[in-house]
Formats: sequence, C-alpha cells, structure tokens
Amino acid sequence: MIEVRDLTKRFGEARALSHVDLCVETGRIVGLVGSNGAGKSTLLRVLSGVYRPDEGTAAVDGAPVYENVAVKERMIFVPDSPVFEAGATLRSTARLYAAFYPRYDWKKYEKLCGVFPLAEKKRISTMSKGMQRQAALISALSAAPDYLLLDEVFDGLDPVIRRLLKRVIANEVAERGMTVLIASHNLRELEDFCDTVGLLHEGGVLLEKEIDELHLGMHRVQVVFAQPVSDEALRAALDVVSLERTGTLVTLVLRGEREAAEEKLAALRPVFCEFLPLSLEEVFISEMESVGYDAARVLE
Amino acid sequence: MKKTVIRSKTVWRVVTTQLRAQYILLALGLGALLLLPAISVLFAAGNEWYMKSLAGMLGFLKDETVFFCGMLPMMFFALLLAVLQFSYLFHRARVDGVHSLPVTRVELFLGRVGAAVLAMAAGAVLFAASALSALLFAVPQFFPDTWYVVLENAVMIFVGGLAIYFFTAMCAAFAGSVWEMVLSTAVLGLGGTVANVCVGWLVRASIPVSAYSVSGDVFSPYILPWETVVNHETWMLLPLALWIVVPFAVGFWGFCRRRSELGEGGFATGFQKLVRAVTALDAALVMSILSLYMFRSSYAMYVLCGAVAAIASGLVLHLLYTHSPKGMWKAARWSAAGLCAAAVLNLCVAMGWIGVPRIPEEDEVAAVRVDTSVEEAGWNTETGGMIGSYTETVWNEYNDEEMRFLNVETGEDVLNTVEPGSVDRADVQKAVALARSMLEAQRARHFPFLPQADGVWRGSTPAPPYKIFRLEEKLYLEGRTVTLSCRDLFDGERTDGMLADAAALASSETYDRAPNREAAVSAAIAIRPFVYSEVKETPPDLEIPEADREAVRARLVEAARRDNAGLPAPEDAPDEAVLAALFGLDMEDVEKMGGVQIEVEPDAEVAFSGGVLLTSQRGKPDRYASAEGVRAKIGGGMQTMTFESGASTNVMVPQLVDVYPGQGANLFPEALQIYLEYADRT
Repeated sequence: MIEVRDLTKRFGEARALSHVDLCVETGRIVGLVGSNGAGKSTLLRVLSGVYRPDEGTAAVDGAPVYENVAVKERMIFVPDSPVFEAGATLRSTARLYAAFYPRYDWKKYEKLCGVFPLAEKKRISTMSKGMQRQAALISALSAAPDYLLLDEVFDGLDPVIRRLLKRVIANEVAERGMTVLIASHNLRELEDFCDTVGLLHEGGVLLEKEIDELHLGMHRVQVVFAQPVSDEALRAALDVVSLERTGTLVTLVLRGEREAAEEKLAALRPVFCEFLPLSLEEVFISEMESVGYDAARVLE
Repeated sequence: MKKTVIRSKTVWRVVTTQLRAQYILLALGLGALLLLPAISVLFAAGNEWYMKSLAGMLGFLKDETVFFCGMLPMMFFALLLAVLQFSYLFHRARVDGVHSLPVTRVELFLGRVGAAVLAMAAGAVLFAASALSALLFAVPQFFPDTWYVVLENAVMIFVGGLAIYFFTAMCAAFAGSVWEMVLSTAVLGLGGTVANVCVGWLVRASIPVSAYSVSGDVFSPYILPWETVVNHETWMLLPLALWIVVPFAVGFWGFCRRRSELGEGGFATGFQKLVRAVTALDAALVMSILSLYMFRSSYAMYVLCGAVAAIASGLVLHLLYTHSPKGMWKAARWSAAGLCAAAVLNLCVAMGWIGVPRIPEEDEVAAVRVDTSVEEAGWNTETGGMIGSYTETVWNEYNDEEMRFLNVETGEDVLNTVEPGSVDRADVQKAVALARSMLEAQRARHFPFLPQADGVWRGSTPAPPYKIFRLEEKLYLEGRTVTLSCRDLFDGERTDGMLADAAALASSETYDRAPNREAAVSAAIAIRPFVYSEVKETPPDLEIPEADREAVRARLVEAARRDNAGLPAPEDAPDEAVLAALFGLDMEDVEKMGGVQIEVEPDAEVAFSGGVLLTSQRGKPDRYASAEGVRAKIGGGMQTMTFESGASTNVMVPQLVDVYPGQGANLFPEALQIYLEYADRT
C-alpha cells in the first residue's frame, strides 16, 4: 500500500506539493490527473525516491521510500521522457535493469518482446518516441515490480499499442496484484483503465474517488416539460449540479441515484426525458464546480 | 541515526555499468595512454640528442614523455570522465532514471568513483607498459637505469588524474547546471593560484627586501599535477594526495546530501557563495594591481579599483546565476566577503606580517655571500625622470677569475653549486648584522608597506642626490638558503654605511677563500682534461701568439687523444681530423687553419652515473666509480677560428662534450674526491 501523509515539496520559494494526503491500496490502478504544474510528476518522483520530501511522509507498506533500497527494488518509475545510455539497445537496457532489480524476469522480458513490435538489438536512440517508451515499459515490466509508477505513459503511443499496454498492465495487476499509479492530464485515457482517480491542483489533492462511484453518482438528463418549470423549482426538486436551457430543452446534470431522479422528474410531467452518459471529464468538471473551483481553469 | 549499508555487489554493478556507459571515452583515453608513450620513446630512440647519454634519455623521460604523452592525456581523460559521469545530475530525465534505481546515493557515488579509479589505473598501467616495452626494445642499454623513472611517471600521472577527477566531481556534486560546474571548476581550481600570484606580486611591489615563497602550484589541482611531472618532484605527490582526499570527502558529502531537483531550476547552492567570494577576491587583487600601472601608483585608485572589481564580479556572477538583478543585494555579501579577504591580505602585507623574510640566527648560518652594486642618479622632480647616472659595482678581488661557479651534478639530478663566499664566523656575524640593518632601513623608510607599480616609489622620492643600490646577500643554512635582495632607493648615511659594510665583507681576506671556493677551484683544475680547459689558459679575446700556436694546438690534440679514445689517435690520423671531429669543422677549414682562439663558458659539470652509489669514508671516496656514465660538460659558446689568410670565422662550440664509457677514467677520481669533500662539508 502506498501512503502519502501531509506531504509537502518545495522548489525554492515555490510549493509543488502542499500537504498532500493519498492512499493507494495494493492491487489497484490509480490515475492522477491535473493540469500542467499541478504536482503529478513531483508526487511520482517523491514516491519513487527521486525527491526527498520536505515535510510529511511518502511510504510504501509502511516504509519510507527515499534511500530505501528494499522498497525501491519492488518499485519502478517510468518517467515521461525516459532516457537511455548512449548507444543503448533494448537488450542492454534490460541488462541494466536486471543488474539492479533482483526479481528481473528474463522470461517475461522475452514474452513482452514478442508482444511489442520492437527490434531487440536496434539502438533505442534511433527509435521513435513511442517506441522508446515501449522499450522503457518492457524493461520496467520485466523487473516484475510490485509498484509501477507511470508518468504520461500513453503519450506518443498509437491506439493499438495503448490498448495492448493497458491489457498487459491489467494482466499484471490481476495475476500478481501489482499496484499502478499513472499520472496523466488526459482523463479520457484513464477512464476505462483506472479503479480510482485523484485530482491534483496547485499541489494539493482536490478529489479522490472510485471511477464507478463517480459515474454512478452523476447523471446528465435532457428533458422537455409540457408546462414550463422554473429553475428554482427544478433545483428545489432535484440535486442539480448544472442546468442549461436551449429553447424548451433543459439539460441537467444531477447528483444522486438514477431511480430517485427519474421519479422526481416524472412528477414534473415531462413530454421527453432521456438519461445520457457522462464522460469522466464532465463528472470532474461538475464535481469541482460544486466545490467552488473554476473547473475550466483547472482542467485545461 | 540511520545506518548506511554499502552493498559491495551493488557498487560493483554501478562500476560495470559506468565503464560500459563511458566506453567511447575509455577507448580514446586508454588508447592515447597506450600509444603516445611508445611513440615518444621510439622518437627519442631515433634522436641523437637524447641517445647521447643516459642523462639525455633520463631528461627525456622526466619531461616530454611524461607530460605530453602521459599527464596531459590523463588530465583530459580525468576531466571528461568526471564531467560525463556526473553531468546526469543536471538533466531531469536522467536524474529520474538514475535516482529511482534501487541504489543508495553512497553506492552511486562510490560506484562512479570506482569506475573512474579503475579506468585511470588502467591508463597508468598502459602508460607504463607502453613506455617500458618501447624502452626495452628500442634502447635496451638504458633500460636498467630508466625503468624506475617510468614507474614513477606512471604513479604521478595516476595521482594527478585522480586529483583532477575528484575536484571536478566535487564541483559537479554542488553545482546546479553544467555551465555552473564548469565555472566552479575554473574559479575554484585556479582562484587560489591567481590569489597567490597576486600576493607574491604584492609583496615584491610593496616590500623592498621581500620573501614570499609559498608555491602557487599547491593551490590548484590543475597546475600541481603539471608541475609535478615537469619537475619530476615526487614530494609533490603529498599535496596532490590532499587534492584527492579533501575533494573526495567534500564531494562524497555533497553528492549524498544533494537534492535531485537541484539541477532542474538552478536553485541557489552554497557553492555559489564560495564561487562569488573567490571571484571577488581574485578580481579585487588583479584589478587593484593593474590600477597601479594605469594610475601611476595612486593608492586611492588602488583601493577603489579593487572594490569596484569585486562589486562588478558579484554583479556579473549574479546575472549569470539568476538572469535577473533581483536579490543582488542579498547575494552581494559573498562578494563583500571576497573583498574583505583581499583587504586582509593587503593588510598583512602592509603590516609586514607576511613577505618580510626572517633573518636567521648567526649559529644557523653556515656560509654567506654578498653581491652589491650602487648607482647614483639625479632625479628630475618635475618630469619624474632620471638625469644621468653611473654605476659602480663592488666586486671581490677574484672578479676576473673565469671559474666563478662550479656545478657538481649527480645522476640523481642533485646539483650543488660552489660559489664564492665565506664560512668565516666573523663574516657570518657581519652578514647577519647587515641583513638586520637592511630590514631596519626598509622599515624606517617604507612602513607601512604599500604597493607601488614595479616596486618603485613614485611621487615620494626624496630630493636628489640619492642612490639606487642593489645588495644581495645569501645566507646558507642547513638545507636551505635565505636570499635577501634589496633593490630600492635608500639615501643618507644609513645606505652608505650598509654599502661600505657589504663591500668590506665581499673583499675581506676570508671571503672567497672559503673551503668551498677552494674546492671549486681544485675541482675545476682536476676536471680540466674533461673540458679541454687547457685552452682556457689562453686569456679570452687575445690572439694566441704565433710562436705558441703550434704548442697550443699540440696540447689540444693531446687532450683529445687522451680523452676521446673512440676517435682516431694522432699517430693514426692527422691532427686536423681530430680537430674536425672535436668541433665539427669541415676538413677544408681545418687545413686552412693557422691559429685558434677558443672562448668557452666557464661552467663545468661532472655528472655521476645515476646507477652508481657514491659513498665516502672519512671524507675519502671508498671506491672510485668507473667513468661509465660520467660526462664533462662545457657550456656552448662562440669560438673564433683565425685562418692563415687573416680571415676569421665564428664557430659554435658544441654545447656538450660527453666523455663516454671508458674514457677519462684516470682523471675522474680526483674530481670525485673533491666533490665528496665538498659534499661532506655542506
């Protein structure tokens, strides 16, 4: 389990992380979203032992990460721009990882090399950005980590490889109970992959919820009433997060159980009523607006 | 306190990954250290100059080979190794990759250092193997006497390389960017030497009878290795070792405590404060010294220029570090610290706390030597120029002696110079008293010691007439010599009195008849056959009388026949052939030669074979070394050949005339005896 308690990280005068609390259960896939500069990468660097916390703690299974070899042997961090040694190949990078990670699994490496379309002996520096990322992921996954920290991992990957990677990671989670923490600014990418999503903004965690919980608790409804119903009446009857009118068509984002919302709407005698799916992004925007944040500014 | 566990296996993994990562540099560096020594020795083997004698080859091995073919490549190798190994610290993505590995900072540092030490040790081994192989195959006759020099060289370049590596690594551990690392390395690596040179200059420009003997080399990890090999001074390995231990310890501490984010945004480091202070110190010293020349030794401008330079250096560095003038005043305190250090150094010189030589007690002094000259001049106070002068040099009665100095040199490069002087206790007493009066005179006239361009006081020169005198006094102590050189303006009775004392001392009965002087003259006579010094019996610049020419020529030929057995003997070949061989003349010129006048430099050296241990029993040599490896040397000079036609031509005398194995052996022991007697006394 990854536990972050009251974590603060400063860069000179600026605070990159401010009193962050986060808990990631073992075997979960957790997405970290937020705008640029929100502190996602900084949090991953603290969790991977690259940065030393200024205040608070970052611990894995109760042990601090920084300068803790026992923890770091079970954890791999794939940064947003992986860098390789001069002249490195996939094979030589794997050898490098194998030298430092005691559980490095060469069989898994061979298997992954068969899955991802990469030439083992080709110089990584001559590969495309997406292929370089694949090389880093193959090396990392072959180390059989208990904790995988990924920073903007889907950037530069084509849709096929993205799907493949998600499947490989999901298998690792299912088979070995690997814990994954993914930082991204792309909510749609995480929507169908993560169990939990945390939203970071200006160095703090604004929100941390199960994806299902987010989806189930919010609804978008398009409705046309036979008789005009005022905004006040709607807000009084329903838990309205947002409300828009286009002619007679009223678009509502509601919080709460679907059945209860349907009953209350039925009481207002609509001539047309349709429940539409909400994207994760819309759920986030709505949630954040409800707690007083200017969502448009937070999620660029 | 958390205990740090160092896992040797992990350190070794870092070592091997580092060696793999730097394979291009390793190939280039080690390749250079393998090829260059062999090439240079093969070059020496094909060069007549170096092959002439063992000393020639030793000179080559102790200078060119080790510097250009060993130390210089090793210095670049070490510098680049440190830069490449630690430059990842300034690249965020690389820091992510390295610092997220399950390796502690301690292991990361030790692994990198281990790889570098291994690489440099391999370089030193290759250097030694290459040079020794080339010696063995190309000049096997010199191998027994030179192999140890190659090994010494290998140790020197290894230690020198380590010093540069650790210093650069230390700077990297504290710097926030590559350019900051380069700047810190340059400023801190050379700053001490610059300050030392400036203080030395300051002392000489402030204090007429001055002494500042701190070697500037020890202040720089870049200059010290260079000096170590060029001078082939093994004792310099000790200060070099300090340049290894201290930067290693500081660099280790800094690396382990370093925050990974330091390289991301150029956050201010404590190291920047040190760089600011050292830069301000150097800038203040250099600029204030330059101001003396620009503003005619104005002390006000001296102070002002120093302060302005320190402030300007602080401003420039601040802009370089932060790209903004914001926070400049806060950072200015470190430049102020550098300026204060410069002021303290100036104060130390002004108060005579450094730079004024200590006069030894009489019982410490073994011998004394005095040279003095005096110049009286008028001074035009309006133009500041001299109006006429004459020089009067006070010499002792042996002034006209040709052989004023005798250098006795062993193969170990130990040089003893026999000079005129006195060991008479009364002379020593007088000389010490004279030295004290010199210091008192300068204190009375100059204190506090303020710097002046060229050490010449302008604007405070007393009214004419006055005297410029130069009085140099050497006090020979056990293992060292104190030289007092007074070269400023003094006036009045005090100066006249000192000059009179010096002249009396230099022309006393005991002076110049000291045992060492006698030894010099005797040794010179003894080694005359080696240097063909019979010819010196002809006074310089005088034509050999017609009647004596044949006799002189015959003696010259006889000397050549005796000491150059490898050449054709007179009975086997014409005398002209011997002459031609001796002085490299064309036979046609020799045949036309009607007379000969030879001038040679008066220096003579006897070089003992480095492989022969010289010992003595009660002042007598317990055995005579064979003449093998012994050489006689005459300094180069022009010789005038006069032909029967009356025409003359100048010919350069060979600079070295070597006596090769088996030659001159019968003449050598006497010189050896005298050398040992002299050596025992000193």
